[in-house]
Amino acid sequence: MWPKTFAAIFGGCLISISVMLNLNYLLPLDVDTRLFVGLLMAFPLWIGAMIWCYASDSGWHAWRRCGGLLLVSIGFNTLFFFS
Amino acid sequence: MNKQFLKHLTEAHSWLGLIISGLLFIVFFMGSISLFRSEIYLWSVLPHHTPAQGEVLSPSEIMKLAIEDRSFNAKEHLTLVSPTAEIPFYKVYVDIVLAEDATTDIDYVSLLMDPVSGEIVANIDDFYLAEFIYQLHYNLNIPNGGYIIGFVTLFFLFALVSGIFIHARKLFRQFFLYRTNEGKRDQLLTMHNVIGVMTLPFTLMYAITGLIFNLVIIYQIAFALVLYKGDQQALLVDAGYTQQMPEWLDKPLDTSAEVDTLVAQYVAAFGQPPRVLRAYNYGDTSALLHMIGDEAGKFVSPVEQVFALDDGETLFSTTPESPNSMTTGRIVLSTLHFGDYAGMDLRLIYLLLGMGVCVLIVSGNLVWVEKRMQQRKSSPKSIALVNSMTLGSTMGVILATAMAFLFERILPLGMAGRDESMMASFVASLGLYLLLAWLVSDKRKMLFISLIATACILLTTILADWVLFHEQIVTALNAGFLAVAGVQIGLAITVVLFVTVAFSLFNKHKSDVHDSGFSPERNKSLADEALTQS
Repeated sequence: MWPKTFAAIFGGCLISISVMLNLNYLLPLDVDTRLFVGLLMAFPLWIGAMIWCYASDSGWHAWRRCGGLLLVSIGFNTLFFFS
Repeated sequence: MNKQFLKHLTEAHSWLGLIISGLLFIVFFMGSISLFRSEIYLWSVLPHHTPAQGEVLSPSEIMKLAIEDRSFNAKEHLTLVSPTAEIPFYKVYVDIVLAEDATTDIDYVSLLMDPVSGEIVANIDDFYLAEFIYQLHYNLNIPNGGYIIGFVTLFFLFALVSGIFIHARKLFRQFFLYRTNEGKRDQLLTMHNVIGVMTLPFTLMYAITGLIFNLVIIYQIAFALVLYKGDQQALLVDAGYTQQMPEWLDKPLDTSAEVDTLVAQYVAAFGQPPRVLRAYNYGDTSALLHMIGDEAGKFVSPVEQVFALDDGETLFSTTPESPNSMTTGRIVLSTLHFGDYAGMDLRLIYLLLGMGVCVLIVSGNLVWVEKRMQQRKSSPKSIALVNSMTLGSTMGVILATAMAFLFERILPLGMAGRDESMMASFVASLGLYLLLAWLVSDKRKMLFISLIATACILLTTILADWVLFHEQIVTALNAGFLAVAGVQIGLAITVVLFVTVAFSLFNKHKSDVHDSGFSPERNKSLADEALTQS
């Protein structure tokens, strides 16, 4: 259970941060509204990732799941950051 | 839903639930009591001082009295929290210049002041019980405790969501189903499910808002680094925060009249005084006045304004007409979390829901124990550990809280380290109880004795109220302050409840032993069994 927990905490946290950053670039709202939407959605996203990790067969499986999604999301982060 | 998916989630749900149960119980138990922290604070204060009746002094007069004969550090802050119906005193925080030979690094004094007479009643922290309970709720009163509670809340939210998945098929079909004729484990599971389902909107709201309060720093850092290229100040400005750092000009200027004028303007515009007044560089030409509050009669309508005191110039303003979504949203979340948007009845509902979650936590642990006891390969040591932990971290916390109430009442005002003695009574009681919970094998008997002991401590507290302070309590009641009586009624209800539960457990145990045919051997085996066994 511990390997899944590490994946759920760290992987889930990174996924939620990365996805929220992308949403912040994409949402056509005022900056204060975007920040608040980010605040509201960040933790449910983290929990979503945790569910995904704990539903995995092993810690390695959980990290693979997180890693795949994280790579895609970080790709978009990089794109937005340098554009 | 995929069986394997549910199996993995159920394992994680019970494993994580068990790990966080002790701290989560503290969070919900202390949080539920903290809904009434204004009343508890007044229960502490009023027997020592009843507020004078008459015209309330202006903020500038309170400021003058607060800094009189003190080494006020004008280059820092002077903060006033206005009196309200809940707390009819000014709370004043005065930043001071520390003497060179000072043995402390606390560079401010916190004063509780009578709004009519201006008398300094005590230091705010002399009556620390309410704040102590509140801090246990969100940071355990330990360094970095806020982050620990944040992660406990994260796992709690996970337990809620995984619980929804696990129970999804029965969520509506068995919404009102409460089985009483099933085995012990099924009864406990039913209790766990029913409370979990019924409190779900409340628990989801609490978990998400609690997470935002305690772990928002993670996203704040990430957003500041990536979106704002490291400029944290720009992020805070966009989020509706303002930080004032006026430059000290060293030109004395009496701006007390301007303070009262600005407060009067605020009252005229928003229907009530600002909740917090903070003066920067007070007494200098560069002085600013920062006012925080909200508009009267609205659910959420935050107001925050900063004025220069020499010419009245507006330096910052957020009002209901010019809202910041982040500020408004943050206050909506905290209003929902604290349940202070309606009257006492709403707080009572919150209290019942909070206590319901405490039962949810205990029943979850007991389900785990029952399940393990039915498994052949289960380790008796792990079952004993969970039983001891469950009893210690729940009943121990309740008993220690009762002890803190008693000490808050009987310790004399003015005693050095009064607050620390009260906290020590809590920590020592809890520590001793955890030790006993580990050593005593007859958990049921220990639970019975603990319930009766807690009831006795609370009863002694009520008696101490009347023996030590009967005249002051009557004076406060005559002046219309009902907090002391209200807290006493709450404590009395708890006494009745605990005695009833204790004797109900005792009678149930007796009838179970009678039904199963009493023998000393049988009785001994019961004593060594789990908390739930009968």
